[in-house]
Amino acid sequence: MRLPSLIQGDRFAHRAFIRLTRLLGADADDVVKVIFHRPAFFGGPFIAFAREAMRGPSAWSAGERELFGSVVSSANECAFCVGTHEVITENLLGAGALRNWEDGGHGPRATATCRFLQKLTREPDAIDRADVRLVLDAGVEPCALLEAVYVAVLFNLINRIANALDFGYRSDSVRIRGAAMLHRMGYTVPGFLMR
Amino acid sequence: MSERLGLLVAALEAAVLDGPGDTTKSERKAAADGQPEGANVAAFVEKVRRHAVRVTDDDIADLRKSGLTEDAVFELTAAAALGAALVRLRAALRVIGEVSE
Repeated sequence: MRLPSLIQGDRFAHRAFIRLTRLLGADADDVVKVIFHRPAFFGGPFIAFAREAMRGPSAWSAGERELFGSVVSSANECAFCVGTHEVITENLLGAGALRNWEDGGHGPRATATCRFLQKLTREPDAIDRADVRLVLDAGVEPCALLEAVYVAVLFNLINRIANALDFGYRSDSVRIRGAAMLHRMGYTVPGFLMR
Repeated sequence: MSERLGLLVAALEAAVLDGPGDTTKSERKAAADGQPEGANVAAFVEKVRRHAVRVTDDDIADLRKSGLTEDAVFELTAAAALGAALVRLRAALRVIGEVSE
């Protein structure tokens, strides 16, 4: 982490939470620590958006949305976010989920949508009507595509912050336990930590 | 559903770009638009927007040496990252809207 003051915990409650999760072996990761830092500036509205995009009502399952996030994170070369979200994706969609989406392993709707989000991430200026039609022809409703786009927006934001500030894990086992905790908590953070 | 997501993105944009901070609102808006002043800030913002994985320890150290606090660097990072994400949202909204008409 290139800005250490951001992850020390602004308040006693933050520092206690960070210490407790570390003792439990499922450390609050750098995203969570940054969310705690000045929550009115970034963390509060960010986690509200993340919770709705990833676990709110949607045409897509939680696993499909995790797959979209992982595909976008791969396109942005964000090893930190891939490291977390591939664990959740594989827990929900099965082992190898990140490798077999291109072959239609999760159905034509997910494959077409992943391709759209990948291009939107890499070449936003090149996205055009033909790209949209390919997704709609695969059976995706426009409103469902839009919901997937918001997942891509979320990850295009946090991938850049994670890469620029060099987010990391203490160990691989901590990464896996942290991902499991994120999924269990459904992208929620106790309210008293966000004040 | 997507209307609610749009409102949440708008709230995030307002917090990052219009809230109080070590940088001014205009500095954060310029970072989000990819047009900040100052060579080292401009180079950093460009990296965050286009290929954040290439940001280095030296990039951050240069910003700190120029007098920016850690919070200021975070604010510029968040604004630049948000701007890049919004470019993708607007591109998608435009083409989905065109096809759905």
